[in-house]
Amino acid sequence: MSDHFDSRALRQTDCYGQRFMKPGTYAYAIGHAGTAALAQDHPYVVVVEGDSPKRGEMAQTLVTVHAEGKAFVPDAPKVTVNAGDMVMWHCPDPHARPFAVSGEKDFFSSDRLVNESGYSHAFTCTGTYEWADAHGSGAKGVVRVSTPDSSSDKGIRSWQSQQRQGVLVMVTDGQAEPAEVDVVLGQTVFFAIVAGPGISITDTAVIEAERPVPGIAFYRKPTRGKDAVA
Amino acid sequence: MSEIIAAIDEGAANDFLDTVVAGLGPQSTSGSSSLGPFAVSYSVSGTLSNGTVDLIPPGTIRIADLRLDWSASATLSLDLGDFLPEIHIPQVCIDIPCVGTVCTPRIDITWPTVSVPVSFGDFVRATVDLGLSVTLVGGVWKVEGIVQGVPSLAFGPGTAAIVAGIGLAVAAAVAWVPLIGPFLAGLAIAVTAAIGIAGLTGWLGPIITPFISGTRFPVYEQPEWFEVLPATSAIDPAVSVHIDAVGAEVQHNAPEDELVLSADISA
Repeated sequence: MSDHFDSRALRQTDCYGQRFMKPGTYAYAIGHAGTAALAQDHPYVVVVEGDSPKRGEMAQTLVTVHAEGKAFVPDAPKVTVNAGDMVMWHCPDPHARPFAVSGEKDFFSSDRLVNESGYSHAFTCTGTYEWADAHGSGAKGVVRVSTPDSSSDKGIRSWQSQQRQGVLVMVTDGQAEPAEVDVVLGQTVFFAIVAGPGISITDTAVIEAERPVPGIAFYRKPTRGKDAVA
Repeated sequence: MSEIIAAIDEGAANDFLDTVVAGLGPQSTSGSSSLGPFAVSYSVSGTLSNGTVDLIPPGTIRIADLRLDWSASATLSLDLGDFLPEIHIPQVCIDIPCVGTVCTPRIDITWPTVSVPVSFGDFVRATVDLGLSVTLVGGVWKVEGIVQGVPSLAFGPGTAAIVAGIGLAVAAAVAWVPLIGPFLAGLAIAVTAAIGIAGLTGWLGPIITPFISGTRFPVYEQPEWFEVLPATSAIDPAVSVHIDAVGAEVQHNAPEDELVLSADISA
């Protein structure tokens, strides 16, 4: 079993967070992963009020996404926050198809994470996971997920305690810090994008699976990095 | 007094039934039912092999230790939520330098219902009494031994291992389920306990008992018209006799018991 994670395709164990630094109205859509960016309608909005954000005083608003038929619907079509606050999207439905959040503005997209955004993933399978930016910036890292000691009450309590401790990876201009992290099963890693051109946090197994297959004409071509296609 | 009499003793009856039982071939059945708390679809096949024949006057052929080798392929439908505790990934709050604290929501984990294929097999032994049946059907006399009643099956010592094997098979089959790792050992124990040896034999018994109960063992078969001399020419046709009646019984002819077939004939 493997836990293929991809910030471009959000699932139950993922969250996408976007910080809004400037006042304004930011429309967005929620759609199926891979096609959300093609949306012509952006029916939902984040309204940002107030002046410039105060350092270290970030509030957070959670938007819960529900799968309704073929559509994804947020629990609140309009949320109002203050400048500098973060809005986080999450779908608790384990059966929902992977989705993406796509704003009208370029900075606002789970498909391409830019400054002041983040992606979290709770690892539910053990193993060693290499991740990289599927858009080719060169950002990469490793997450090692170990099996907890469940043979004793003490071990189980320790495991439950570890799960409550998130691990932070900060990505700045293609460099992850720390590049390699060790977690236990069920632990959450939060990837904070400090600065970047618009990256993804993608299991390399997923990237490998997206490589072109002979005879298949349509595939996603990297537009940046060493594999970039002009 | 019958015109034709044939008799075999217990030794010959043993050899004879060896051949008869081997000729029965495998039997199979399939269906769906419940095994312990699980819904299960299955296919089961079984092959008989002869035991020890005891002829008991006046009309019983007892086969002791008749053996049925069986094998089963089943698919268990297993709702993991019936066995595993509700769990969730807790809310996690992380301090991001120069930014603030960001918190992820609690994530409830829903255990799935999984289908687990399992295969297993063993043998059972049973002691059965065959009653003798003589019929004339379609111009053919048939003497058969028919299993009387519903035999009690004696399951082998391997049954406990089968139950444990099912538990391990379930654990292996659900290893892909997210977050299940620490629960696998407990799941195997829970499944094993839920089925139990009694549960397995209680499920399997009614399925394979029909492989034995009601089974008809062919003893003798003969057209009622019996050619005793073949035709040698156009003016010398075949000579046949008619079998008017056939009898079958177990007689005690000291010093042993015999299976005796008798026939009355006419020209």
